Amino acid sequence: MKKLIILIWLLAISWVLTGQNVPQVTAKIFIENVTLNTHPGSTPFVGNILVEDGIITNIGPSITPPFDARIIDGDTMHAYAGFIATLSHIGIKEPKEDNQRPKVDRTGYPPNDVAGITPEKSVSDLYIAKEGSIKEYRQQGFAIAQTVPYGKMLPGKGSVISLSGESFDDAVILKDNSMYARWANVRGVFPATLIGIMAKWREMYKNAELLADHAEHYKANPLNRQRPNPDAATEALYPVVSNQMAVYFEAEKHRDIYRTLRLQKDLGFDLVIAEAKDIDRIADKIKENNVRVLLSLDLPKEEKEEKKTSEKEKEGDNVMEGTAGEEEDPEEDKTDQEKDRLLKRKKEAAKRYVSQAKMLADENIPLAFSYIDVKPKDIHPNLRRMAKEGLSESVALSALTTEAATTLGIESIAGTLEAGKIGNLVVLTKPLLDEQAKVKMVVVDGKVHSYDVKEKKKKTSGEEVADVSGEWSYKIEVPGMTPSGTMTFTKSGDTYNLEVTSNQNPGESVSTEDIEIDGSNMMFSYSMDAGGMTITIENDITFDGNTFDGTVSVGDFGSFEITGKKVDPEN
Amino acid sequence: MPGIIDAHSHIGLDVVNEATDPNTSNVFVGDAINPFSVSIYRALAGGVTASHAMHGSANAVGGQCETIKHRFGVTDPDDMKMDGAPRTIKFALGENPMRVHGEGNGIVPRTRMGVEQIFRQGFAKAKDYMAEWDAYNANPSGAKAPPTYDLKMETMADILRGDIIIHCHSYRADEILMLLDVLGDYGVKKICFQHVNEGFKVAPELAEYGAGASVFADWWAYKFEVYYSTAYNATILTRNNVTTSINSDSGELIRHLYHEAAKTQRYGDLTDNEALKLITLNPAIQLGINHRVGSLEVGKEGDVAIFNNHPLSIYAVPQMTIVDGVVRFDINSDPDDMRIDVDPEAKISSFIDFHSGAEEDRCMQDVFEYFNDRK
Repeated sequence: MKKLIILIWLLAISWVLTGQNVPQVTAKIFIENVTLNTHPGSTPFVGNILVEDGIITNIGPSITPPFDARIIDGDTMHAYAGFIATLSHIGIKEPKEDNQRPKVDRTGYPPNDVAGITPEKSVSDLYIAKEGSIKEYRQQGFAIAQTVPYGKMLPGKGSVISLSGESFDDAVILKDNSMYARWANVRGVFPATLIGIMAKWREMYKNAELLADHAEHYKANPLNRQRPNPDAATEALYPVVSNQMAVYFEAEKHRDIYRTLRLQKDLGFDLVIAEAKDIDRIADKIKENNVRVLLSLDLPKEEKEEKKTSEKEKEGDNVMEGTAGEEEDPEEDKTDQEKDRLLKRKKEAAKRYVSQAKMLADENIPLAFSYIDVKPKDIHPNLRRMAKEGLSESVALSALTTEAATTLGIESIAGTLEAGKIGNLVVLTKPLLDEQAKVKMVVVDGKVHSYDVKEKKKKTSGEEVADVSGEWSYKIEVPGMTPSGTMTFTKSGDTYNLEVTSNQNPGESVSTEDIEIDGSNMMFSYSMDAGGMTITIENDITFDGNTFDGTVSVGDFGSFEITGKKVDPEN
Repeated sequence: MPGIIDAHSHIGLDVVNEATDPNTSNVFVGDAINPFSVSIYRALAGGVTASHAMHGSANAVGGQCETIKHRFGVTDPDDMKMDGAPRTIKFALGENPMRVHGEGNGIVPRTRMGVEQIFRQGFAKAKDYMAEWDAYNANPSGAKAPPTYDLKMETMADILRGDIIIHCHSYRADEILMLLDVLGDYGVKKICFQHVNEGFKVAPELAEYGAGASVFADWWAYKFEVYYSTAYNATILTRNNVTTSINSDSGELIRHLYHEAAKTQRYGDLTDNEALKLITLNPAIQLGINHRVGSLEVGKEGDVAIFNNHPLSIYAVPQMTIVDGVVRFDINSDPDDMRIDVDPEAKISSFIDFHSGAEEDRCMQDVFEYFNDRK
């Protein structure tokens, strides 16, 4: 009972603190004694900042508040301009992934929308003001985002929005300012491959140029002229072919980026490379073509070292049992050495990926980030990983603020803490790249969103984890086959009983109670019959809401990725 | 000897088949070059300095191909291309397009007759298309809306204009004659047949048309239409004055094309010179690059393969391969791990996966899902 009362009390407090459901008493807020980082690279100073009616009206070391301002104590805190997510799906509901081949009359000529070609789509029709991602990003310090639709080759047009507001019209800063493009296709219909996507781009672009030109003639003088009747997709490309709308092209890897540059060179559109993960070796070309770059904040997972050794020990045990007294197999030693060498190269590659931002900065290539793959909660940890590889605070901050604003063309109204700019700011407990830094407060359009930092701390130390009881479906990524099935967890004291089925052995199931739980991470193994041979399957998975992902090691065959989701999330 | 040239391969490509339509002349595998592909290094280790990176054989009219130089080590895909090499395109006869589109999708071509119609329709439409554009360009007043720009028709028109060499996947003699008929009707001259296992039956006709033939040394019987074959094929074609080459169509065969060429001495008694031509000058002629590569002559590009024995000897092992004067393979400096690009997230596993086996670098790569799932 006592607990319940405390809970209600906490809820009430957070209600007041986040201020979301209570109208703000005053439209003037005054944060005092806060360390102000007005521009990337500028010397921080302790001072005050005044935001009135959603605009920064005054900032300085010793300015005084108006009588009716809400005064917020910023002592020991650090204030920055509100972050800007240069490319994201914020506020858009992710559609269910449908990996089926669509049924069409002729796979070579599918309707545009079936083939993932919908440049006419606008986020203005898709934006949901209550979508969870808006809150999630705001909590990481973001105040403005460019958001684009989900989709394949040409998902549609993006808009720049403020992470506040009751509707799209309320939130919008720039409507339909960009075209979003990807190297992604719908299965089994043209364009089904990247060479198809290249061909489709060339053809659509040329037709858009021809028709846009004709439309202009027609507009000037419609007499004696054939009426231009473009389809929606072609017409949507008119501002692209006339260089009035930039194409934000998602291109992660080296070759994707080259292909994107090739298209841009052949066709001549205004290009921003987005979600780049492997771009340093093309720095020269990027500079030469004067193309803007958005790096992905999604980094390769950090390898866990300890697990490997324990695995080896286990293997060692097996050898002892099976071939007692025999000398160690030199062949096995060789494969181990080879594995070590491969692991070493893999690690180097991961390090290179984490160093991308620093390497581009060294080449003086201006950069911002894109937020398609990254999970919001990984943004700050990943920035710190980049910092460990040498990324400076000023470059990191500019990528989050000024460069993002410049890319979007809103640098005159956002990106720095200056009088006259939008009242967007983020207050951290420590400097931006500090390991301990937490977001304390985010102001968007002059509205205050506070976060209880202490409570969060408690959570991480207590590791209270959601109950995962129930049925989960899983899929293992093995090249050439897709083992899948269900895992049913039944709560038993502090741990679970687990029952696993697999499509490899229909009608059979295996159970285990030997489950190691560490926070949201879970390790367990079970044995299965595979064509007369018993193989042990070791799982290492991490739960995140209604999904999990991780790795499974399958006997000597290696390890594979596993993903899963709750079968019926309601229960 | 001059660097070996492979007139039919699919190495160094991220995509081989855009199998969505019987005519995909709009796509271009030059867009899908993967300079990191270790297959390229393996080919160098077999003395091969240039290859014809082809679209697959899923469609009657496949995509345009790219002639690449094996400059393993460069990272820009464009640096892998042999600049200035003539444009080429893949055609395919017989079972592959019939299976993918006829059986798989229930559309033309379901039979060999249907395959012919794909070519005839393509060329006929291209003629209309050219006429339409000519009419539009002749009167640029802006009064008429422009015709729709159609990349397939653009390519078909370029074939009619003689700007593109056709390389056609073929086995049966009747089909080979069929394509010669079609091309004759449309005045298309530049044609090289690929595989052409029954070429020995129609060698005089091929010679008369001026068509090339790029064959396997002794590979057949992997499907019904490839049963009637002989290891004497290359010899018979050569003796009938058909420009003949021996190709790999495989990331494995490309490593010992010199052995493949040597087989023509066992089966047909070709001279050393004739046998070596099958993997050097003749493929260069078929690709239209014989003025630049294919023989060791002053003024030609510095593509050289060095062997420890006569290249046609069974004891021959390539020692060093030079492309454009740059040593790209040296047996004395040949580390285990030649990857240029390492994926930081790929699993390291001892599991022999599907892709290292039969499907990669082959004609029918990427098309398996198109078979037999018609509803």
